Amino acid sequence: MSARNTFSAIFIITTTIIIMSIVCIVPATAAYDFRDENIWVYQGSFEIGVGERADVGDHVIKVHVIDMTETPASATLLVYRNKVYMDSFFVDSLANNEYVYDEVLLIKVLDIKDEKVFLEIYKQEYERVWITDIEKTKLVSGEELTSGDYTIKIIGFSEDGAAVAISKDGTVVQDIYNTGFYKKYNDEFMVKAIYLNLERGEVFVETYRLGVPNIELSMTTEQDIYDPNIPIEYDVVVKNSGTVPIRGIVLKTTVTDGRVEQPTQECYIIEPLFSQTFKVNVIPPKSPLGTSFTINVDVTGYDYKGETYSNSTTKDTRVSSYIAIEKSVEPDELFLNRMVYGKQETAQINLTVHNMADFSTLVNVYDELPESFLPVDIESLKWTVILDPDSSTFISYQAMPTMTGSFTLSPASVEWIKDGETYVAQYAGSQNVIDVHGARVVAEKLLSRNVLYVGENTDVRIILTNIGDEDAEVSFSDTIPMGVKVTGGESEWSGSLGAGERKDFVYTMQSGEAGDTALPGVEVSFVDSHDNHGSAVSNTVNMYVDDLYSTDSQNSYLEQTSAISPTTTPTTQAPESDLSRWGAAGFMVSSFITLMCVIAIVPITAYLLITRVY
Amino acid sequence: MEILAAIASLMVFGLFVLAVLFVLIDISSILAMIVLLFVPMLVVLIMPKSTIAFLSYQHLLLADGLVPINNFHILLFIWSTLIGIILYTEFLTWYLARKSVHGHHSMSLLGEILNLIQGVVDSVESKVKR
Repeated sequence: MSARNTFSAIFIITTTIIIMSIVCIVPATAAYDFRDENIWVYQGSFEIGVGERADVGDHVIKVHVIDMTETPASATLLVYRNKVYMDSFFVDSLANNEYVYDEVLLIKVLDIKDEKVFLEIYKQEYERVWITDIEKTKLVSGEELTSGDYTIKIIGFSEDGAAVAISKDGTVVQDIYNTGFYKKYNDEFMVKAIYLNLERGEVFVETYRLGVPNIELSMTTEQDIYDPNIPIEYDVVVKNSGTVPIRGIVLKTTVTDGRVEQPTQECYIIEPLFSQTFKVNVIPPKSPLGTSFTINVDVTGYDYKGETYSNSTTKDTRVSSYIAIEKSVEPDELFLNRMVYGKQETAQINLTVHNMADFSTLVNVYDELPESFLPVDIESLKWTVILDPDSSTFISYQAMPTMTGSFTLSPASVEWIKDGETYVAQYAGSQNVIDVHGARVVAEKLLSRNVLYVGENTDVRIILTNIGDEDAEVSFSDTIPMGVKVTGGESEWSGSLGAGERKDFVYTMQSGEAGDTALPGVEVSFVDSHDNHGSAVSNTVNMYVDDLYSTDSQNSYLEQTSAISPTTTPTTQAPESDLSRWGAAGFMVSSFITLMCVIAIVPITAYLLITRVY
Repeated sequence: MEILAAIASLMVFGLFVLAVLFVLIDISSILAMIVLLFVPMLVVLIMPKSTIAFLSYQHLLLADGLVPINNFHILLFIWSTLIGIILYTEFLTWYLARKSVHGHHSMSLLGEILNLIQGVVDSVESKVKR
């Protein structure tokens, strides 16, 4: 039993050792792929004084002491790994300017001056730098494969393997390739035999070339135009579209106007086909009329050999004026004649004026209404306000509709003076539209003759028009003045009047006593389909009744007295006067005598003087 | 119509002025003065309505409508002009006749007028000295 136990124990230990060996070896072998290179990978440039540190992953380099008295100046550097002191070494900027620690860290001292050590640090790493050029290709004896300026030709097969000739620019190198064999040419081209089949006389080869990084740069913003009081955020995406990683990425941002919050940003590495997004915030410039500026982004990075790669991009951005105005209306649908809290329904116009500058400004705010709207309880649509720094002022007023239809409100504007110059900013947002519905009836009263004789007839015409967009139930009863008699026709009516419809009503009236008679305007009341009540009054008409024949009584519908179009007296005919013949003669005699006396003053004076002197 | 009315008014007043000047030159200044006053007066007394309508016809408004110009104004202008002509004609005639009576040499009309003005100035000066 003991022998059996001993055997079992030895078996378990052996198995464990084998498994552990596999576990340890497999990753190691996997890490050292033939496409990788054991290279010094640039980690960055540093400028450190005594007590300062350069941090590169696990390793930290510190300056212990700097001796500036000697020529050249020298320094003692300390190496830490995982915060544990490992080594110290002496450097200067001439012969002892390079130091390799533990075959993994290369420190190159560029200069020692101003109590600072300027150095570059490289780390030895395995990095995949050989990138597949031509995928696995089968070649038989005599066949050729061309990649760029390299030509691979299979010369023949022997027991040693496949004889392959690699030529470039007339130079031919011949090698024997077996399965898994690979070789680098001129440190830029590599050929590998993936599989060699001697029985069939064929070999599968693959070629590789050194990879390069490539920086692609794109910059995006959310808006086309920005307010001047909010930092503008740009997303700058740096993508490595190359085949090897790029390191030490430095993104520098400049603007033609305004200020960048963080002009320089850095990133350690971007792997191939990966991208890194940088947030760039810009404080926009402030201008009375708005302005444009250009943001310029430059990106530099290094490949594993320390070679520089860069790219740049620009973007123009528009910044609005630091004074802005907004306009809104509510509600955007109104009904004529609808009463709200005992008053006709109105629209509330809201104006908000923003001052995005860091100083106060006195501004004039202007607005306009369509002709069919009336402002309520205000005399003019102009306001003068002082805007505090970085604040907003709210103005609102009511507008009452008088017509139906769809009305587009004009943009409000704000005007201010800065450094002697007058600037105007307009609301540039979406248009405000008010739809007004309802019935609106207008009435007109006309006379066929308004100068007539006692006892004569005249026709009174009442015209009702529904200029709204809804049907209405309309009623009227015209008022007949005292002494006038209606002899026929309709002087009252009630019925339906459709949207846009017109109806005429005529009645005949016999004139009464001589003199002027004012016929009052007809009062019309109506109700629309939303049960909103309205009323209208027509124009008044004057009628003159004469008891003598006059040739001037040729009047028609045209002569009316109306508040809208008052008649005017022609200028060429003076009004008739009551001057009698004796009055006229007396005026003429007195005028004549006065003129004669005035004109005679000089000759009479001269006469008197002469007759007394001579 | 306004132009026709203006032309008609111009013709009426033109005839009147010519008639007065004719009487002044060919007959006598007293008669010219009588014609100047009494012809319009008689016409007013005979045809009051038409004459007053004619005289009150407004031709134009000056100074943005503040100063109306009608035929009455034109008659007054004509009167003042012709009264002036008649009175000064009469005065100069008297003065020239007086000079010739006092044995002065005959002079041109301009010389006579200058003499007249000089005489008036001298008499004023002598009064002031006294």
